[in-house]
Amino acid sequence: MRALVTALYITGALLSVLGFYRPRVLKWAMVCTSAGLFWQSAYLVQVARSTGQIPVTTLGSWGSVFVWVIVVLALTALWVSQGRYRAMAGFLLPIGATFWLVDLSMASTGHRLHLSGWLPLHIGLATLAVVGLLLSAVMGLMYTEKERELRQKSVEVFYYRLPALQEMDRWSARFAAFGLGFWLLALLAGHLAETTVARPPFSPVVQVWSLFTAAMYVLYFALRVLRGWRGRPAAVMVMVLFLLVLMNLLALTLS
Amino acid sequence: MKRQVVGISHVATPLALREQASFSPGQIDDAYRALIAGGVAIDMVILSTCNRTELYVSGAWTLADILTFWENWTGIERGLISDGLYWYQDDEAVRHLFRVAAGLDSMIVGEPEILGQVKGAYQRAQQAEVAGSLHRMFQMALKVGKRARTETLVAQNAVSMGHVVVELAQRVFGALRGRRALVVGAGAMAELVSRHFRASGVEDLVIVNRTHAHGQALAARVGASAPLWSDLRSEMARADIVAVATKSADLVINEMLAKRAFHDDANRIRFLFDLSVPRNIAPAVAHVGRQTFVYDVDDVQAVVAKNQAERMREADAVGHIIEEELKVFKESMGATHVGAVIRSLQERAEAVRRAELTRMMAKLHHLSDEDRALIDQATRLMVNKILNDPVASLRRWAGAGDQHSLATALELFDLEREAEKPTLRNAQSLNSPS
Repeated sequence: MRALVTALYITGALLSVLGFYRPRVLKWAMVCTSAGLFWQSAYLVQVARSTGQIPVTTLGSWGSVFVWVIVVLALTALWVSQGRYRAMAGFLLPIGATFWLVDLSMASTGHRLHLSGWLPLHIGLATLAVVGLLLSAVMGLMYTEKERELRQKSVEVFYYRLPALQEMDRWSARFAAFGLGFWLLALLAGHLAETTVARPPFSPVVQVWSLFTAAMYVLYFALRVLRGWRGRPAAVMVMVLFLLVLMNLLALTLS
Repeated sequence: MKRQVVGISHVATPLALREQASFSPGQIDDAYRALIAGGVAIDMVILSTCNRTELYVSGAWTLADILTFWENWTGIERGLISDGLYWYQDDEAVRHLFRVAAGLDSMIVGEPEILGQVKGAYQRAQQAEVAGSLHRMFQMALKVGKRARTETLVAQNAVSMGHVVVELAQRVFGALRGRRALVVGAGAMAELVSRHFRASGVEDLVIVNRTHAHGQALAARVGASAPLWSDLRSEMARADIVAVATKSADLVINEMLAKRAFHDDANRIRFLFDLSVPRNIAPAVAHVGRQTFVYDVDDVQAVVAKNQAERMREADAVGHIIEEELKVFKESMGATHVGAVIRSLQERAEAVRRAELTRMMAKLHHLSDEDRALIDQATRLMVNKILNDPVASLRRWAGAGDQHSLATALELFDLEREAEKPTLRNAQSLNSPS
């Protein structure tokens, strides 16, 4: 089943990129990705039934749920969004497919958590936070691509397919605010989970890195508000900051 | 009854000849009135724009008849336009109209005006009651035009300098409502760009010109404010979009001026358009501030060319729509015709049966009413059974669009295709201005 999902997600991702050049193929990207989502949902239900728990107890299984959320967001952009926000799927689906491939390779890594107390809430909040910060980074990536075309005065696909620069800049900041808010709540819930269970689920490295990541996002907003950071510097910064989030996940894997 | 179109367009006929061959609205109305008064069994729609003059005709007229009509009403000699003249019949005529309505045959592919012009031409003919059997063809053409513009990107992306300036600004800022635009200059290009900014929702528009009176005059025309030339730096500092279109031989915005103007907010996104030749904005201004874009005339022209290429790429998709709708048109016309043909065939058979039955019953007056009813029923069943196979074949041919077999059947049974008959009028042909 996972091989089928892989094939469908990769095909959907390739078609979504091709959609920048031929928008009509986006409907086939939707079809492939929807089919992949269906089979991945079936896979997640199967895992949940066999383990008797929501499949977020290892980093590998959480990764699978995270990919599921990314794919749902990409399909929502394709189905619901009119015009230029559809192009977001051309970034989200390849990222989702990449996460899926990485997730397949680490499905068995990481220790298994016991879901109790504050831990399920922490995982839920952290998932929302990572999704928000990912969307912020994707908006930043879209911004830099379109800005590059405009600066080089060589308008190509991104000029035609992506939203206006300032709209992407605004949405990037909004998603970052959304993500940071949930990140801070997740930190709080994580702290409570640490204090209420006998065996702490997170290593000190993860905790310190999480706080550092949050501090960096606070710095990003401080620069936006106090120094007027907009556009390219802000877009590059949210992309770099998302690497900190990924490092956080890596630290979880190693812990 | 064949449909045909005869015309000339910008593709192969120069403007001077297009002018001579065009119909004024008054001429079109007069020509339609003459058709009505003359009782000519012809349906016609005349489409006459600055880029084309076309006569869509349904009826028995030949090419020579149509050209004579055209010559008589416009005075153009057919020899003058013969090089660029085109003549399409039946499916090709319908396909041509669909292409015209979709904007594929326009000078600027996908331009929106032609759809309104096709609609106007059709409505004018309809009001004059000369559109007749061309009704369905034009209705479908309007549908094709709408589909082409809503389902494809053929009408997207600006293809004129003024529009592209606004489009570029929109690609950076999104909606321009609430943005501040500064236009430097008061000439024709400055006015054009100002009007485009206004039309795209810019509420805060400022005109700055060396000769203040000219700036004020333009500002009054486009609804803008017109500060003094000495305020240029402060106005630049406040503006999101700056368009410079002057005839100055020197730089109007140099690096120093830009640095002083943008110093307070180096991170702000600004778009500067230099629409002057020679250039009025120093290229180095693009490096003042982190988010400053400077586009000169060549850069804007490059975007125009790119947008035109994008539209051309969409022409394939529009072509698919045209073929789809052409198929629907042929099927619907086939269904309409075959209904009339079948009715005609059945009426003819029924008339023969009744005539023979009446003649026979006159000789068989000893039969009872029951026997007469039985014979009547038997002959009716006999006729129906004989006609059953031909009717089924006619329906099948119509469904498959097999016009040749349908035509053979019409010939075989000597039937008239009621649905294709042009509007019948009372008097004889009148093929000249009244």
